[in-house]
Amino acid sequence: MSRSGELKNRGGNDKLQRRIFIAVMLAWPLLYFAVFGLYLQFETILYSFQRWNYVAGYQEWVGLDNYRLAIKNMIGGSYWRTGMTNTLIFIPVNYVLIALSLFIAVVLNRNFPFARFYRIVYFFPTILSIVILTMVYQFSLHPTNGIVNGVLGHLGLESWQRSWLGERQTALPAVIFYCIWAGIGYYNVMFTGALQRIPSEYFEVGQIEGITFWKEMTSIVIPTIWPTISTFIILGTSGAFLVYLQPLLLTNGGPNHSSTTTSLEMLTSVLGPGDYGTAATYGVIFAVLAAVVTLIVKRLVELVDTAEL
Amino acid sequence: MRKSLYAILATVIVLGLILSGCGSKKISGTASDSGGQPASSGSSSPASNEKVTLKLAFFQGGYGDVWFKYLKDQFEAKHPNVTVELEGNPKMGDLIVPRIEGNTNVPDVMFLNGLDQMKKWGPSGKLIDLTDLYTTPMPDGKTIQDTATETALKSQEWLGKRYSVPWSQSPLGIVYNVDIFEKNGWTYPTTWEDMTKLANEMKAKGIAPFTYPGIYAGYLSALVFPAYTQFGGDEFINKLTNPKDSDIPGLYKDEAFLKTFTQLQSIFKNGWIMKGTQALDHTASQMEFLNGKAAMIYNGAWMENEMKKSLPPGFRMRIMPIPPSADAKVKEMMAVADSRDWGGIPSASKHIDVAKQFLLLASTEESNRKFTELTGAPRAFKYSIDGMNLSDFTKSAIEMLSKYKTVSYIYSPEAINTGGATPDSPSGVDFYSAIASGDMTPQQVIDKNVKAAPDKWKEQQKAIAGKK
Repeated sequence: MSRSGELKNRGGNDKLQRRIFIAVMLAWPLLYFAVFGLYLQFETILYSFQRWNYVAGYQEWVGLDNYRLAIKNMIGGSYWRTGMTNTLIFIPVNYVLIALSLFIAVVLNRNFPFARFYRIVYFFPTILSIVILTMVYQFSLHPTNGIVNGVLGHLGLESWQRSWLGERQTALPAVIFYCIWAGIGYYNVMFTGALQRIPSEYFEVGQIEGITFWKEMTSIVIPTIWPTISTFIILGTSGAFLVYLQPLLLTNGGPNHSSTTTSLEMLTSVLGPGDYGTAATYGVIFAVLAAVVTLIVKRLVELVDTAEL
Repeated sequence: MRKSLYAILATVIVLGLILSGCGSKKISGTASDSGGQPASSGSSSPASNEKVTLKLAFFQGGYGDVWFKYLKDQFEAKHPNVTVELEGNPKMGDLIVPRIEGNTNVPDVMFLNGLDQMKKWGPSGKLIDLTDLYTTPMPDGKTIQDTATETALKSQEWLGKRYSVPWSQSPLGIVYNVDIFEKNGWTYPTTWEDMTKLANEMKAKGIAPFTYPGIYAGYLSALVFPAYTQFGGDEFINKLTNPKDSDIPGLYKDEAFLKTFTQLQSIFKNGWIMKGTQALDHTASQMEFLNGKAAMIYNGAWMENEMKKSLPPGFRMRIMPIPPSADAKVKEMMAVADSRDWGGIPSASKHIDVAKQFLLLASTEESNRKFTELTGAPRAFKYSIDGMNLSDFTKSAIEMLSKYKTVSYIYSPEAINTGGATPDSPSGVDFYSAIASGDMTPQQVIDKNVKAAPDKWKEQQKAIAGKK
């Protein structure tokens, strides 16, 4: 009997095994999603209608009270409003980051001397822990011993020296600069991967026709890797609402909460006074806001057509 | 085929929901169980030969872990069947929250800083009621009730019960660089006017008078808390910590607030704070102080131990109280001496009786002396320090506690409690940061607080009424 005949005979058994296999493979991710995805979101929504009663020691239902206070705070001006403004600033910051990474990836994709070395240099920050990275960054911006102020001093630019992370005017820009510096490596690798899938004939034709760098960017690179770019634009938009670790480690949100973000305020209100109700309320509000913004951006991104390879 | 796949999906989702539901039920069940029996005698009795591992989680801050290592050795020598497992972390205060509230990986006994968590977990049944432990004789025959300081006894009480035992007495004051002072012929001032003169003189000489851990504005309590009593007197403090309905919102208009905030503002406005301070954390700012970049730092008695590895050889420093201003009601030098850290036993502890024994051992005179010897900081107990080999800095800290008036504010449940490092702010404005950064003037902070106080007060009273 041939091998295929043997397999055919066990067809019924195979089908069952196949189903068991699929079920087992799906069970874990689905369970994970059910607990950490659905259940936790559900709890958060419940929490937003409750408040911790400090004296009695339990959560009590307060109806829409948390939402009323939250909206009052956001309109009347508070740390939450600063946080919201800063969070929204991180959306264009992420776009700049994507544009810069793409630019660098394209430049490094051309075979010039040391291109590989530079690719490693740009990628290097990505493999280090954020705690170490922020410490290095903090040291370099240290008001008295930092290399940045030191270099400025040597150049005779004493008036430019400042306490970069401790002044209202520079704290948030310094955090933003950190995010760009530390983020380029990751995006760079992704874009390099995408660029390498573009057939080299495209570039050769371009070279024969003598097109400029910008023309090459707009007619070859961007249209062909648009799926990758658009994915990152969408992720960058929703990711802006999750930024908290960078300001937490660099400035602790200061000075006077000027470099805070909504996620950081949520974190501090849970860890400090244990105010789950307020944190959950803002969480729900900003989740809705983030969903709307991301959806709009997604629609806009989809308007652009991808070139067929 | 497809149908059965959907059936499997549905089963898994339902299963997931049921399982997660079970999890939360178990948590609330445990909480109410232990809440119902305040004087829980513990679930396990330490049979003499039963092997027990006591998990101890502690905040590894300025006091390090040396004292806990000592306690571990002592306790294991006394109880040969017990192994104490130490888990210290500088971020334990944050890390422990999900563990206690989610009932996962709960330690058997813990030492934490900040009373907010004790006040939250105590009434909700997450902590064992330790009221009886205060009158239980310790290995040396004394009781915690008799030996703890008055501040500690008052601080570690919440709603008529005790869920914690005192840990350290944390004195906050002004630490100054003895060498800089001696070289310039300066002495530590006894009035705020002299301090003003001194600070201006320092500034003129190009020495920064002050620094502090700028990104943790709470360290400014070293100045603010003594100023409350100096400018307001006992009457104001009484109103602040135990307000009546008629005190709201007038309390927040009290001139003691304006004077305190103005004094706080002055150290920034006069340019006495070292440039760049606002960007520094505790380690970085303390390092600047040790390097002689600033003559004084707002800090606590744990600083020497915290910086032990970086102390320049022969570096001399002392800690002193805040000098009073000429228009103060109480013209005395004052320092903060809080008892805001604590040891406690989670209700989910597996070895409650052993943990109680551990807390008792940790509170004996012997352990208190060892704590001071190892960390250079005082504990919130009355004990003798005779014959101990202490650094000059530690001696100055103990002198500050014994020679000068100390303040520690313990708020009644009725008082407006905004939690965190700035409890006196009904508007939720972090006034330390707001004034330090120059974003708000003292008057603006006061106006905001006065406006927000009535609503906040009503909210707080409603919460208490819910209890009764």
